[in-house]
Amino acid sequence: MFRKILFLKISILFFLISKVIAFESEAEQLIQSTTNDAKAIILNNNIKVEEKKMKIEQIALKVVDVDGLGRFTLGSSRKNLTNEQLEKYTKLFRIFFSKNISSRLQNYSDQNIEVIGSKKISNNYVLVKSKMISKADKQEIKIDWRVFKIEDKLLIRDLVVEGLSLAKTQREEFNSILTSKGFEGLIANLKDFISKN
Amino acid sequence: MLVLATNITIYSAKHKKMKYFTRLLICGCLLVNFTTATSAKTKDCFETVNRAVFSFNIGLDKVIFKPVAKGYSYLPSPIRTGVKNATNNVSYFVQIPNQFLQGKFKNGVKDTGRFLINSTVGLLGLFDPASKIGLSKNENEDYGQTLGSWGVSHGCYIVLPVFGPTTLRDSVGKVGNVFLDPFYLSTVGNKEMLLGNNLGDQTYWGETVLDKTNWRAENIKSLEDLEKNSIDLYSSVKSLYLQRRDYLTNDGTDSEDEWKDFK
Repeated sequence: MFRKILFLKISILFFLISKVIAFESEAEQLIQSTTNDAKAIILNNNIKVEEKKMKIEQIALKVVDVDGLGRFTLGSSRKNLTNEQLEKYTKLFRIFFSKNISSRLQNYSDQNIEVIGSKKISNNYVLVKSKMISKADKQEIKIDWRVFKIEDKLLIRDLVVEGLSLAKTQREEFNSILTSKGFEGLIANLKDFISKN
Repeated sequence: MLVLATNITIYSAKHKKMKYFTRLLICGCLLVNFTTATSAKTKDCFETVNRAVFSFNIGLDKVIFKPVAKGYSYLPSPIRTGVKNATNNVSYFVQIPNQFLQGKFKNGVKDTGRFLINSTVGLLGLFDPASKIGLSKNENEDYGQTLGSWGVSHGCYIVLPVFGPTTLRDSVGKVGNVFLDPFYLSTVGNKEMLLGNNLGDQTYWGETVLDKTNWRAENIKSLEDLEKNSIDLYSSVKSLYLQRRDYLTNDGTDSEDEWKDFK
């Protein structure tokens, strides 16, 4: 009887550990494969710039929780918005995000991203650690990725480059506009950015 | 403004330098709180003035700094690497004491080793033989970070003409970075601490210009990218500056992960 209970306990423990390890390793794989795919597109000289942008946008929309990121960037102002306003913002934010990310990624050319480990923060949140190594001068830049399990799907919500969080920077930028110009001011600024890019 | 005002006073009374700096440091520390330093809590007390100074700095960058940096970036890579190595080496005059002031004795000893090797074998820091024998570079440390590590909060966010973003705490730190720097004291100052003589004002200003030009040249693409992708550049720069300072002060540990409770 005692042996059976012990066996059961050990089995449960192994099951839990394997689940944790699986979550972490899946998150690491997601980052490595996503960055490899993005790099292959950026370095492919047979694809035109516009097509590259489109492909990068597709990858980003597939692996990033854009709606979650959009909600985060609104900060505490989110509570004061009506459902209609939120819907209007979410739609615009999706376009803003895809334009923004494809524009930023185009500048990366000779760097390699190497996943170096991960840290489980909670049951649905893993911080994946990586480093970007420049081929030219071997300079290393630390990049952390905040990966969440949302409805059994792994999605990225933020990336932190040498301590600089993309989501936090975006939130503080939006917050400044919300404070000075209000919700409609933010919508106008987003529309203006989209039309220019 | 604090740095500029201090500069004028220092020129007129060099012998009172240390006493004056100590007073400034005490005043600065009284103006900021001794609480946990985080970017989210930092107030933009002078936003209207800051935005105006920021616009002025952007204009100055477009007309002077960026074109100079672009020209500099055409220099052969070994020259730029040499300049970077040499200016990094000079920064150890500030970095080493701050490692010890923050209680990082291991890093302090390592940096001292790097400085000695690179200053001699590395021909006044032009080359970096220390890295090749395993003494890799630590993150930069300065007096602003030391104040932060002692629990002094940022105080108000400030944009200085020419010098750019800072906080009240970091402004006090900047004063220390200049007036407690043996390189400054034996160039612009009247001490004869380096190689038994005073190296002259032009050595200090030449090194400073090279250091800033090299930094600007290394960041041409990333700053263009930031400008292009920001809908409020002022807020982006402010956020990035404060996050970076917190990251350096906390030695890369994330003190507040706001995603933990996000739903």
